[in-house]
Amino acid sequence: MASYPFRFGVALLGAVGSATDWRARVREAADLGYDIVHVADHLPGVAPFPSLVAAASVPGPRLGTLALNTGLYRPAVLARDVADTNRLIEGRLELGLGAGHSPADYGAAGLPFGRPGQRVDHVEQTITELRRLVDPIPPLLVAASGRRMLRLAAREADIVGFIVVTPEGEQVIADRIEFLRSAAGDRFDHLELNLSVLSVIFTDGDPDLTTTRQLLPGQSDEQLRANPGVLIGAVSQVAETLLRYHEKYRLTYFSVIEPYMKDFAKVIERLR
Amino acid sequence: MTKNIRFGIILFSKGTRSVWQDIARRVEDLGYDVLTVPDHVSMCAPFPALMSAAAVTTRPQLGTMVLATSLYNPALLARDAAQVYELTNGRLELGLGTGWMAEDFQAAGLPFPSRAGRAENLEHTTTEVTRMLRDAGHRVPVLIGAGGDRTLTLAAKHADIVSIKDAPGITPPGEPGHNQLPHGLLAERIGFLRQAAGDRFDQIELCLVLCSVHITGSAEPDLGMARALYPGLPDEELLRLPGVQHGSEQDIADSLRQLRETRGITYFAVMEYGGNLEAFGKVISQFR
Repeated sequence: MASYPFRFGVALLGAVGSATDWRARVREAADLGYDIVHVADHLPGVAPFPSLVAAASVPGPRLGTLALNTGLYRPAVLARDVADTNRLIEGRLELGLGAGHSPADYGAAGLPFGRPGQRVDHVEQTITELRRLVDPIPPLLVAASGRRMLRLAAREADIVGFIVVTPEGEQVIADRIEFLRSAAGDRFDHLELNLSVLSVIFTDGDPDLTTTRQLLPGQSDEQLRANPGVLIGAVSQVAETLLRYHEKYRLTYFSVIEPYMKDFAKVIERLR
Repeated sequence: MTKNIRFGIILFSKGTRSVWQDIARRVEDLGYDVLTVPDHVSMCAPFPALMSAAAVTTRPQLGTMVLATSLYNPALLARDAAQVYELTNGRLELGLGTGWMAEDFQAAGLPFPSRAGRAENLEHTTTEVTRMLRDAGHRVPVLIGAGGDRTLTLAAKHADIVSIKDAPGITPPGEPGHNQLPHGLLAERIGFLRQAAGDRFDQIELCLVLCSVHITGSAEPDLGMARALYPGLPDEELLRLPGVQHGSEQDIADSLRQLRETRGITYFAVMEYGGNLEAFGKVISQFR
Protein backbone atom coordinates (compact mmCIF):
# COMPACT_ATOMS: atom_id res chain seq x y z
CA MET A 1 0.00 0.00 0.00
CA ALA A 2 1.33 3.41 -0.92
CA SER A 3 2.32 5.42 2.08
CA TYR A 4 1.91 9.15 2.14
CA PRO A 5 3.97 11.49 4.32
CA PHE A 6 2.19 14.24 6.19
CA ARG A 7 1.59 17.38 4.15
CA PHE A 8 0.42 20.68 5.53
CA GLY A 9 -1.31 23.50 3.75
CA VAL A 10 -2.56 26.94 4.68
CA ALA A 11 -5.35 28.83 2.94
CA LEU A 12 -4.64 32.56 2.81
CA LEU A 13 -7.87 34.45 3.22
CA GLY A 14 -9.32 37.84 2.47
CA ALA A 15 -7.92 40.62 0.34
CA VAL A 16 -4.53 40.30 -1.26
CA GLY A 17 -3.38 43.94 -1.30
CA SER A 18 0.00 44.90 -2.73
CA ALA A 19 2.52 42.39 -4.03
CA THR A 20 4.79 43.15 -1.08
CA ASP A 21 2.09 42.41 1.49
CA TRP A 22 1.02 39.28 -0.35
CA ARG A 23 4.55 37.93 -0.67
CA ALA A 24 5.17 38.57 3.03
CA ARG A 25 2.22 36.35 3.93
CA VAL A 26 3.37 33.61 1.55
CA ARG A 27 6.90 33.88 2.92
CA GLU A 28 5.65 33.50 6.46
CA ALA A 29 3.82 30.31 5.47
CA ALA A 30 6.97 29.02 3.80
CA ASP A 31 9.13 29.86 6.83
CA LEU A 32 6.68 28.11 9.15
CA GLY A 33 7.14 24.92 7.16
CA TYR A 34 3.92 24.71 5.17
CA ASP A 35 4.15 22.51 2.08
CA ILE A 36 1.46 24.31 0.16
CA VAL A 37 -0.31 27.67 0.15
CA HIS A 38 -3.90 27.81 -1.06
CA VAL A 39 -6.32 30.44 -2.19
CA ALA A 40 -10.08 30.05 -2.16
CA ASP A 41 -12.48 31.12 -4.91
CA HIS A 42 -15.23 33.56 -4.05
CA LEU A 43 -17.00 36.52 -5.59
CA PRO A 44 -16.09 39.02 -4.28
CA GLY A 45 -12.73 37.58 -3.41
CA VAL A 46 -9.20 36.80 -4.47
CA ALA A 47 -8.61 36.10 -8.17
CA PRO A 48 -6.96 32.70 -7.93
CA PHE A 49 -4.56 32.53 -10.88
CA PRO A 50 -3.06 36.03 -10.73
CA SER A 51 -2.58 35.58 -6.97
CA LEU A 52 -0.80 32.26 -7.36
CA VAL A 53 1.55 33.65 -10.01
CA ALA A 54 2.37 36.53 -7.68
CA ALA A 55 2.86 34.09 -4.78
CA ALA A 56 5.39 32.16 -6.86
CA SER A 57 7.95 34.89 -6.33
CA VAL A 58 8.44 33.20 -2.95
CA PRO A 59 10.32 29.95 -3.53
CA GLY A 60 9.32 26.73 -1.81
CA PRO A 61 5.70 25.95 -1.17
CA ARG A 62 3.45 24.47 -3.77
CA LEU A 63 0.56 26.71 -4.73
CA GLY A 64 -3.03 25.69 -5.13
CA THR A 65 -6.71 26.45 -5.25
CA LEU A 66 -8.92 25.11 -2.48
CA ALA A 67 -11.17 24.92 -4.18
CA LEU A 68 -12.37 26.44 -7.42
CA ASN A 69 -16.08 26.92 -7.92
CA THR A 70 -15.86 24.93 -11.11
CA GLY A 71 -19.26 26.05 -12.42
CA LEU A 72 -18.07 29.63 -12.76
CA TYR A 73 -15.61 28.78 -15.53
CA ARG A 74 -15.69 27.85 -19.20
CA PRO A 75 -13.56 24.70 -19.39
CA ALA A 76 -11.37 25.77 -22.34
CA VAL A 77 -10.61 29.18 -20.85
CA LEU A 78 -9.96 27.56 -17.46
CA ALA A 79 -7.65 25.06 -19.15
CA ARG A 80 -5.59 27.92 -20.52
CA ASP A 81 -5.33 29.58 -17.10
CA VAL A 82 -4.34 26.27 -15.50
CA ALA A 83 -1.73 25.35 -18.11
CA ASP A 84 -0.14 28.77 -18.31
CA THR A 85 -0.19 29.43 -14.57
CA ASN A 86 1.43 26.05 -13.96
CA ARG A 87 4.09 26.76 -16.59
CA LEU A 88 4.80 30.23 -15.22
CA ILE A 89 5.14 28.90 -11.67
CA GLU A 90 7.34 26.04 -12.84
CA GLY A 91 5.04 23.16 -12.05
CA ARG A 92 4.15 24.16 -8.49
CA LEU A 93 0.40 24.19 -9.10
CA GLU A 94 -2.08 21.84 -7.43
CA LEU A 95 -5.55 22.37 -8.80
CA GLY A 96 -8.37 21.93 -6.31
CA LEU A 97 -11.84 21.74 -7.82
CA GLY A 98 -15.18 21.79 -6.08
CA ALA A 99 -18.79 21.62 -7.18
CA GLY A 100 -19.57 24.91 -5.47
CA HIS A 101 -21.40 25.32 -2.22
CA SER A 102 -22.15 29.02 -2.02
CA PRO A 103 -25.10 30.36 -4.03
CA ALA A 104 -23.79 33.88 -3.34
CA ASP A 105 -20.73 33.28 -5.53
CA TYR A 106 -22.90 32.20 -8.45
CA GLY A 107 -25.35 35.04 -7.88
CA ALA A 108 -22.52 37.56 -7.98
CA ALA A 109 -21.48 36.11 -11.35
CA GLY A 110 -25.04 36.28 -12.64
CA LEU A 111 -25.05 32.50 -13.01
CA PRO A 112 -27.68 30.06 -11.74
CA PHE A 113 -26.61 27.93 -8.79
CA GLY A 114 -28.44 25.02 -10.35
CA ARG A 115 -29.09 21.61 -8.83
CA PRO A 116 -26.28 19.68 -7.17
CA GLY A 117 -26.41 17.12 -9.99
CA GLN A 118 -25.81 19.83 -12.60
CA ARG A 119 -22.87 21.18 -10.67
CA VAL A 120 -21.32 17.73 -10.40
CA ASP A 121 -21.86 17.22 -14.16
CA HIS A 122 -19.95 20.44 -14.76
CA VAL A 123 -17.02 19.28 -12.63
CA GLU A 124 -16.94 16.03 -14.55
CA GLN A 125 -16.98 17.80 -17.93
CA THR A 126 -14.35 20.25 -16.76
CA ILE A 127 -11.99 17.48 -15.68
CA THR A 128 -12.44 15.76 -19.05
CA GLU A 129 -11.61 19.00 -20.87
CA LEU A 130 -8.63 19.69 -18.61
CA ARG A 131 -7.20 16.24 -19.32
CA ARG A 132 -7.62 16.86 -23.03
CA LEU A 133 -6.11 20.34 -23.10
CA VAL A 134 -3.58 20.56 -20.29
CA ASP A 135 -0.35 18.63 -20.63
CA PRO A 136 1.29 18.14 -18.25
CA ILE A 137 -1.74 18.33 -16.00
CA PRO A 138 -1.09 19.41 -12.40
CA PRO A 139 -2.21 17.20 -9.51
CA LEU A 140 -5.99 17.39 -9.14
CA LEU A 141 -7.68 17.71 -5.79
CA VAL A 142 -11.40 17.01 -5.87
CA ALA A 143 -13.39 18.33 -2.92
CA ALA A 144 -16.03 15.73 -2.22
CA SER A 145 -18.78 15.13 0.29
CA GLY A 146 -21.73 13.62 -1.58
CA ARG A 147 -21.68 10.25 -3.29
CA ARG A 148 -21.48 11.46 -6.87
CA MET A 149 -18.50 13.67 -6.13
CA LEU A 150 -16.90 10.85 -4.13
CA ARG A 151 -17.32 8.53 -7.12
CA LEU A 152 -15.90 11.18 -9.44
CA ALA A 153 -12.99 11.72 -7.07
CA ALA A 154 -12.41 7.97 -6.91
CA ARG A 155 -12.03 7.90 -10.69
CA GLU A 156 -10.27 11.17 -11.43
CA ALA A 157 -8.59 12.73 -8.42
CA ASP A 158 -5.02 12.57 -7.22
CA ILE A 159 -6.09 14.09 -3.92
CA VAL A 160 -9.52 13.97 -2.29
CA GLY A 161 -10.44 16.93 -0.11
CA PHE A 162 -12.75 16.49 2.86
CA ILE A 163 -14.38 19.21 4.91
CA VAL A 164 -17.12 18.98 7.51
CA VAL A 165 -19.29 22.06 7.83
CA THR A 166 -22.50 20.41 9.01
CA PRO A 167 -23.09 19.38 12.64
CA GLU A 168 -21.88 15.84 12.18
CA GLY A 169 -19.02 14.30 14.06
CA GLU A 170 -16.08 12.21 13.04
CA GLN A 171 -18.30 9.39 11.78
CA VAL A 172 -19.16 11.38 8.66
CA ILE A 173 -15.49 11.36 7.65
CA ALA A 174 -15.29 7.66 8.36
CA ASP A 175 -18.33 7.03 6.17
CA ARG A 176 -17.12 9.15 3.29
CA ILE A 177 -13.69 7.55 3.26
CA GLU A 178 -15.23 4.10 3.41
CA PHE A 179 -17.47 4.96 0.48
CA LEU A 180 -14.48 6.34 -1.39
CA ARG A 181 -12.47 3.22 -0.69
CA SER A 182 -15.13 0.94 -2.11
CA ALA A 183 -15.73 3.20 -5.14
CA ALA A 184 -12.03 3.46 -5.90
CA GLY A 185 -11.04 -0.19 -5.46
CA ASP A 186 -7.35 -0.56 -6.33
CA ARG A 187 -7.11 3.11 -7.12
CA PHE A 188 -7.69 3.98 -3.46
CA ASP A 189 -4.01 3.41 -2.71
CA HIS A 190 -3.14 6.15 -5.18
CA LEU A 191 -5.35 8.76 -3.55
CA GLU A 192 -3.91 11.27 -1.11
CA LEU A 193 -6.54 12.22 1.47
CA ASN A 194 -6.89 15.80 2.67
CA LEU A 195 -8.86 17.26 5.57
CA SER A 196 -9.69 20.94 6.02
CA VAL A 197 -8.85 21.94 9.57
CA LEU A 198 -11.26 24.65 10.58
CA SER A 199 -9.90 25.56 13.99
CA VAL A 200 -6.81 24.91 16.10
CA ILE A 201 -7.41 25.79 19.73
CA PHE A 202 -4.65 25.15 22.26
CA THR A 203 -6.09 24.80 25.74
CA ASP A 204 -6.04 22.56 28.77
CA GLY A 205 -9.49 23.78 29.82
CA ASP A 206 -12.45 25.27 27.97
CA PRO A 207 -11.71 26.09 24.34
CA ASP A 208 -12.29 29.62 23.02
CA LEU A 209 -14.71 28.94 20.18
CA THR A 210 -15.29 32.57 19.15
CA THR A 211 -13.79 32.23 15.67
CA THR A 212 -15.19 28.74 15.18
CA ARG A 213 -18.71 29.99 15.91
CA GLN A 214 -18.30 32.62 13.18
CA LEU A 215 -17.06 30.04 10.69
CA LEU A 216 -19.89 27.60 11.40
CA PRO A 217 -22.86 29.67 12.48
CA GLY A 218 -25.98 28.04 13.86
CA GLN A 219 -24.21 25.14 15.57
CA SER A 220 -24.00 24.47 19.29
CA ASP A 221 -20.65 24.46 21.04
CA GLU A 222 -21.02 20.73 21.54
CA GLN A 223 -21.48 20.22 17.81
CA LEU A 224 -18.49 22.44 17.05
CA ARG A 225 -16.30 20.50 19.47
CA ALA A 226 -17.32 17.25 17.81
CA ASN A 227 -16.34 18.47 14.33
CA PRO A 228 -13.33 16.42 13.15
CA GLY A 229 -11.80 19.57 11.65
CA VAL A 230 -11.93 21.46 14.96
CA LEU A 231 -8.78 20.51 16.87
CA ILE A 232 -8.73 21.26 20.58
CA GLY A 233 -6.22 20.46 23.30
CA ALA A 234 -2.57 20.83 24.15
CA VAL A 235 -0.17 20.92 21.20
CA SER A 236 0.80 17.33 21.88
CA GLN A 237 -2.85 16.25 21.97
CA VAL A 238 -3.62 17.94 18.67
CA ALA A 239 -0.63 16.18 17.17
CA GLU A 240 -1.95 12.90 18.58
CA THR A 241 -5.32 13.53 16.94
CA LEU A 242 -3.69 13.91 13.55
CA LEU A 243 -1.65 10.76 14.10
CA ARG A 244 -4.88 8.96 14.93
CA TYR A 245 -6.52 10.31 11.74
CA HIS A 246 -3.47 9.11 9.83
CA GLU A 247 -3.70 5.65 11.35
CA LYS A 248 -7.46 5.19 11.27
CA TYR A 249 -8.51 7.04 8.08
CA ARG A 250 -5.31 7.43 6.13
CA LEU A 251 -5.76 11.21 6.25
CA THR A 252 -2.27 12.59 5.74
CA TYR A 253 -2.70 16.07 4.26
CA PHE A 254 -4.15 18.80 6.46
CA SER A 255 -5.07 22.32 5.35
CA VAL A 256 -5.65 25.03 7.91
CA ILE A 257 -7.02 28.54 7.42
CA GLU A 258 -4.80 31.57 7.85
CA PRO A 259 -5.94 32.71 11.30
CA TYR A 260 -4.48 29.46 12.67
CA MET A 261 -1.32 29.45 10.59
CA LYS A 262 1.12 30.20 13.44
CA ASP A 263 -0.50 27.88 15.97
CA PHE A 264 -0.81 24.98 13.58
CA ALA A 265 2.88 25.34 12.77
CA LYS A 266 3.61 24.17 16.33
CA VAL A 267 1.74 20.98 15.54
CA ILE A 268 3.63 20.57 12.27
CA GLU A 269 6.90 20.72 14.20
CA ARG A 270 5.80 17.82 16.36
CA LEU A 271 4.82 15.69 13.41
CA ARG A 272 7.89 16.13 11.23
CA MET B 1 1.05 71.44 -24.74
CA THR B 2 2.40 68.52 -26.78
CA LYS B 3 1.66 65.22 -25.16
CA ASN B 4 4.52 62.75 -24.79
CA ILE B 5 4.44 59.71 -26.98
CA ARG B 6 4.11 56.36 -25.24
CA PHE B 7 5.60 53.18 -26.66
CA GLY B 8 4.08 49.76 -26.21
CA ILE B 9 4.81 46.21 -27.27
CA ILE B 10 2.29 43.41 -27.85
CA LEU B 11 4.08 40.19 -26.92
CA PHE B 12 3.14 36.93 -28.57
CA SER B 13 5.86 34.88 -26.93
CA LYS B 14 5.14 31.85 -24.87
CA GLY B 15 7.73 29.81 -23.06
CA THR B 16 9.11 28.89 -19.72
CA ARG B 17 9.02 31.33 -16.85
CA SER B 18 12.64 32.35 -17.36
CA VAL B 19 12.22 32.87 -21.11
CA TRP B 20 9.14 35.01 -20.56
CA GLN B 21 10.70 37.00 -17.74
CA ASP B 22 13.86 37.63 -19.78
CA ILE B 23 11.70 39.11 -22.52
CA ALA B 24 9.90 41.29 -19.97
CA ARG B 25 13.23 42.57 -18.65
CA ARG B 26 14.38 43.29 -22.20
CA VAL B 27 11.18 45.25 -22.87
CA GLU B 28 11.89 47.34 -19.78
CA ASP B 29 15.56 47.84 -20.67
CA LEU B 30 14.63 49.05 -24.16
CA GLY B 31 12.53 51.77 -22.59
CA TYR B 32 9.03 50.65 -23.52
CA ASP B 33 6.28 52.37 -21.55
CA VAL B 34 3.75 49.55 -21.84
CA LEU B 35 4.10 45.79 -22.01
CA THR B 36 0.96 44.15 -23.35
CA VAL B 37 -0.30 40.72 -24.30
CA PRO B 38 -3.05 39.69 -26.72
CA ASP B 39 -5.89 37.33 -25.86
CA HIS B 40 -6.40 34.11 -27.77
CA VAL B 41 -7.14 30.63 -26.47
CA SER B 42 -4.04 29.36 -28.27
CA MET B 43 -1.80 31.97 -26.65
CA CYS B 44 -0.74 32.57 -23.07
CA ALA B 45 -3.43 33.40 -20.51
CA PRO B 46 -3.22 37.20 -20.26
CA PHE B 47 -3.39 37.86 -16.53
CA PRO B 48 -0.96 35.14 -15.48
CA ALA B 49 1.44 36.42 -18.17
CA LEU B 50 1.21 39.99 -16.92
CA MET B 51 1.68 38.93 -13.28
CA SER B 52 4.79 37.03 -14.24
CA ALA B 53 6.13 40.06 -16.14
CA ALA B 54 5.27 42.28 -13.17
CA ALA B 55 7.50 40.20 -10.91
CA VAL B 56 10.66 41.18 -12.78
CA THR B 57 9.96 44.74 -13.92
CA THR B 58 8.99 47.98 -12.23
CA ARG B 59 8.54 50.63 -14.86
CA PRO B 60 6.34 49.59 -17.76
CA GLN B 61 2.57 49.62 -17.49
CA LEU B 62 1.07 46.19 -18.07
CA GLY B 63 -1.81 45.81 -20.44
CA THR B 64 -4.14 43.48 -22.26
CA MET B 65 -4.31 44.24 -25.98
CA VAL B 66 -7.11 43.38 -26.01
CA LEU B 67 -9.27 40.94 -24.06
CA ALA B 68 -11.86 39.09 -26.12
CA THR B 69 -14.73 40.14 -23.90
CA SER B 70 -17.16 37.55 -25.28
CA LEU B 71 -15.11 34.83 -23.60
CA TYR B 72 -15.51 36.19 -20.08
CA ASN B 73 -18.03 36.58 -17.32
CA PRO B 74 -17.90 40.29 -16.38
CA ALA B 75 -17.85 39.68 -12.62
CA LEU B 76 -14.91 37.29 -12.88
CA LEU B 77 -13.13 39.62 -15.28
CA ALA B 78 -13.59 42.54 -12.90
CA ARG B 79 -12.24 40.40 -10.07
CA ASP B 80 -9.14 39.42 -12.10
CA ALA B 81 -8.54 43.00 -13.26
CA ALA B 82 -8.90 44.43 -9.74
CA GLN B 83 -6.51 41.82 -8.40
CA VAL B 84 -3.86 42.46 -11.03
CA TYR B 85 -4.25 46.21 -10.56
CA GLU B 86 -3.71 45.88 -6.81
CA LEU B 87 -0.91 43.35 -7.01
CA THR B 88 1.00 45.49 -9.52
CA ASN B 89 0.50 48.74 -7.56
CA GLY B 90 -1.66 50.20 -10.29
CA ARG B 91 0.31 49.20 -13.39
CA LEU B 92 -2.61 47.57 -15.18
CA GLU B 93 -4.16 49.12 -18.30
CA LEU B 94 -7.23 47.05 -19.05
CA GLY B 95 -7.64 46.70 -22.79
CA LEU B 96 -11.00 45.34 -23.96
CA GLY B 97 -12.11 44.27 -27.40
CA THR B 98 -14.90 42.32 -29.03
CA GLY B 99 -12.99 39.17 -29.78
CA TRP B 100 -12.84 38.37 -33.46
CA MET B 101 -11.16 35.00 -34.02
CA ALA B 102 -13.70 32.28 -34.73
CA GLU B 103 -11.29 29.66 -33.34
CA ASP B 104 -11.38 31.29 -29.90
CA PHE B 105 -15.13 31.04 -29.71
CA GLN B 106 -15.06 27.50 -31.00
CA ALA B 107 -12.45 26.49 -28.43
CA ALA B 108 -14.53 28.08 -25.68
CA GLY B 109 -17.61 26.20 -26.82
CA LEU B 110 -19.39 29.41 -27.78
CA PRO B 111 -21.25 30.22 -30.98
CA PHE B 112 -19.47 32.86 -33.05
CA PRO B 113 -21.64 35.96 -32.69
CA SER B 114 -22.36 38.38 -35.51
CA ARG B 115 -20.43 41.62 -35.57
CA ALA B 116 -23.37 43.28 -33.83
CA GLY B 117 -23.44 40.52 -31.23
CA ARG B 118 -19.73 40.92 -30.54
CA ALA B 119 -20.16 44.69 -30.20
CA GLU B 120 -23.03 44.10 -27.79
CA ASN B 121 -20.87 41.79 -25.67
CA LEU B 122 -18.19 44.48 -25.56
CA GLU B 123 -20.76 47.08 -24.52
CA HIS B 124 -22.17 44.87 -21.78
CA THR B 125 -18.78 43.82 -20.43
CA THR B 126 -17.37 47.34 -20.56
CA THR B 127 -20.23 48.93 -18.67
CA GLU B 128 -20.37 46.14 -16.10
CA VAL B 129 -16.63 45.89 -15.51
CA THR B 130 -16.03 49.64 -15.32
CA ARG B 131 -18.89 49.97 -12.87
CA MET B 132 -17.59 47.14 -10.65
CA LEU B 133 -14.05 48.51 -10.67
CA ARG B 134 -15.29 51.99 -9.83
CA ASP B 135 -17.48 50.67 -7.01
CA ALA B 136 -14.45 48.87 -5.58
CA GLY B 137 -12.40 52.08 -5.78
CA HIS B 138 -9.95 50.89 -8.44
CA ARG B 139 -9.15 53.54 -11.03
CA VAL B 140 -7.95 51.15 -13.69
CA PRO B 141 -7.31 52.85 -17.05
CA VAL B 142 -9.49 51.26 -19.70
CA LEU B 143 -8.43 50.88 -23.31
CA ILE B 144 -10.99 49.91 -25.91
CA GLY B 145 -10.10 48.47 -29.29
CA ALA B 146 -12.60 50.01 -31.67
CA GLY B 147 -13.13 50.42 -35.40
CA GLY B 148 -16.81 50.46 -36.25
CA ASP B 149 -19.32 53.14 -35.32
CA ARG B 150 -20.82 51.18 -32.46
CA THR B 151 -17.56 50.33 -30.72
CA LEU B 152 -16.20 53.84 -31.25
CA THR B 153 -19.35 55.25 -29.68
CA LEU B 154 -18.82 52.97 -26.69
CA ALA B 155 -15.17 53.98 -26.50
CA ALA B 156 -16.11 57.66 -26.68
CA LYS B 157 -18.13 57.20 -23.52
CA HIS B 158 -15.97 54.83 -21.45
CA ALA B 159 -12.40 54.63 -22.69
CA ASP B 160 -9.34 56.37 -21.31
CA ILE B 161 -7.42 55.07 -24.32
CA VAL B 162 -8.77 54.07 -27.73
CA SER B 163 -6.88 51.76 -30.03
CA ILE B 164 -8.22 52.72 -33.42
CA LYS B 165 -8.62 49.81 -35.78
CA ASP B 166 -7.53 50.80 -39.23
CA ALA B 167 -7.27 47.37 -40.80
CA PRO B 168 -9.88 47.25 -43.55
CA GLY B 169 -10.07 43.47 -43.24
CA ILE B 170 -12.41 43.79 -40.28
CA THR B 171 -14.76 46.27 -41.94
CA PRO B 172 -17.32 44.27 -43.90
CA PRO B 173 -19.02 45.42 -47.11
CA GLY B 174 -21.65 48.07 -46.45
CA GLU B 175 -19.92 49.46 -43.37
CA PRO B 176 -18.23 52.86 -43.49
CA GLY B 177 -14.59 52.40 -44.32
CA HIS B 178 -14.96 49.19 -46.28
CA ASN B 179 -12.41 49.15 -49.06
CA GLN B 180 -11.23 52.54 -47.96
CA LEU B 181 -7.48 52.79 -47.89
CA PRO B 182 -6.24 52.71 -44.31
CA HIS B 183 -4.74 56.21 -44.23
CA GLY B 184 -8.07 57.68 -45.13
CA LEU B 185 -9.85 55.30 -42.83
CA LEU B 186 -7.75 56.27 -39.84
CA ALA B 187 -8.50 59.96 -40.23
CA GLU B 188 -12.18 59.31 -40.79
CA ARG B 189 -12.50 57.00 -37.75
CA ILE B 190 -10.72 59.47 -35.49
CA GLY B 191 -13.13 62.11 -36.76
CA PHE B 192 -16.05 59.88 -35.85
CA LEU B 193 -14.64 59.34 -32.37
CA ARG B 194 -14.08 63.05 -31.87
CA GLN B 195 -17.69 63.73 -32.81
CA ALA B 196 -19.04 60.98 -30.57
CA ALA B 197 -16.90 62.01 -27.60
CA GLY B 198 -17.56 65.75 -27.74
CA ASP B 199 -15.94 67.43 -24.73
CA ARG B 200 -14.57 64.12 -23.53
CA PHE B 201 -12.34 63.74 -26.59
CA ASP B 202 -9.45 65.64 -25.00
CA GLN B 203 -9.34 63.13 -22.16
CA ILE B 204 -8.89 60.20 -24.51
CA GLU B 205 -5.45 58.95 -25.51
CA LEU B 206 -5.32 57.70 -29.10
CA CYS B 207 -3.42 54.49 -29.74
CA LEU B 208 -2.28 52.97 -33.02
CA VAL B 209 -1.05 49.41 -33.36
CA LEU B 210 1.96 48.99 -35.62
CA CYS B 211 2.52 45.68 -37.32
CA SER B 212 5.93 46.38 -38.79
CA VAL B 213 8.89 48.51 -37.76
CA HIS B 214 11.85 48.19 -40.04
CA ILE B 215 15.11 50.13 -39.76
CA THR B 216 16.64 50.53 -43.24
CA GLY B 217 19.94 48.81 -43.69
CA SER B 218 18.96 45.79 -41.66
CA ALA B 219 17.75 43.29 -44.31
CA GLU B 220 14.45 43.65 -46.18
CA PRO B 221 11.25 44.62 -44.40
CA ASP B 222 9.19 41.62 -43.34
CA LEU B 223 5.70 42.40 -44.60
CA GLY B 224 4.17 39.05 -43.68
CA MET B 225 2.05 40.42 -40.85
CA ALA B 226 1.11 43.52 -42.84
CA ARG B 227 -0.05 41.45 -45.78
CA ALA B 228 -2.20 39.33 -43.46
CA LEU B 229 -3.79 42.36 -41.85
CA TYR B 230 -4.38 44.36 -45.03
CA PRO B 231 -5.18 41.73 -47.63
CA GLY B 232 -5.13 42.76 -51.25
CA LEU B 233 -2.91 45.80 -50.83
CA PRO B 234 0.25 45.77 -52.96
CA ASP B 235 3.54 46.11 -51.08
CA GLU B 236 4.07 49.75 -52.19
CA GLU B 237 0.76 50.63 -50.54
CA LEU B 238 1.58 48.62 -47.42
CA LEU B 239 4.82 50.55 -46.99
CA ARG B 240 2.84 53.81 -46.90
CA LEU B 241 0.48 52.70 -44.11
CA PRO B 242 0.73 54.34 -40.69
CA GLY B 243 0.89 50.85 -39.14
CA VAL B 244 3.94 49.95 -41.24
CA GLN B 245 6.92 52.07 -40.27
CA HIS B 246 10.25 51.96 -42.05
CA GLY B 247 13.26 54.14 -42.59
CA SER B 248 16.09 55.24 -40.35
CA GLU B 249 15.42 55.57 -36.62
CA GLN B 250 15.17 59.32 -37.10
CA ASP B 251 12.76 58.93 -40.06
CA ILE B 252 10.47 56.71 -38.06
CA ALA B 253 10.64 58.99 -35.04
CA ASP B 254 9.68 61.90 -37.28
CA SER B 255 6.87 59.86 -38.79
CA LEU B 256 5.46 59.18 -35.33
CA ARG B 257 5.76 62.84 -34.39
CA GLN B 258 3.91 63.64 -37.59
CA LEU B 259 1.12 61.23 -36.66
CA ARG B 260 0.90 62.96 -33.30
CA GLU B 261 0.73 66.33 -35.02
CA THR B 262 -1.85 65.45 -37.67
CA ARG B 263 -3.91 62.69 -36.04
CA GLY B 264 -3.36 63.25 -32.32
CA ILE B 265 -2.01 59.73 -31.82
CA THR B 266 0.33 59.60 -28.83
CA TYR B 267 0.55 55.87 -28.04
CA PHE B 268 2.10 53.43 -30.52
CA ALA B 269 2.01 49.73 -29.73
CA VAL B 270 4.03 47.44 -31.94
CA MET B 271 3.29 43.75 -32.45
CA GLU B 272 6.15 41.47 -31.49
CA TYR B 273 6.88 40.08 -34.92
CA GLY B 274 10.10 39.73 -36.89
CA GLY B 275 12.62 42.19 -35.48
CA ASN B 276 10.03 44.67 -34.27
CA LEU B 277 10.90 44.50 -30.56
CA GLU B 278 14.52 45.59 -31.02
CA ALA B 279 13.85 47.89 -33.97
CA PHE B 280 11.20 49.85 -32.13
CA GLY B 281 13.56 49.96 -29.17
CA LYS B 282 15.98 51.94 -31.35
CA VAL B 283 13.17 54.32 -32.28
CA ILE B 284 12.32 54.82 -28.59
CA SER B 285 15.92 55.97 -28.02
CA GLN B 286 15.24 58.86 -30.39
CA PHE B 287 12.76 60.22 -27.88
CA ARG B 288 14.74 59.84 -24.67
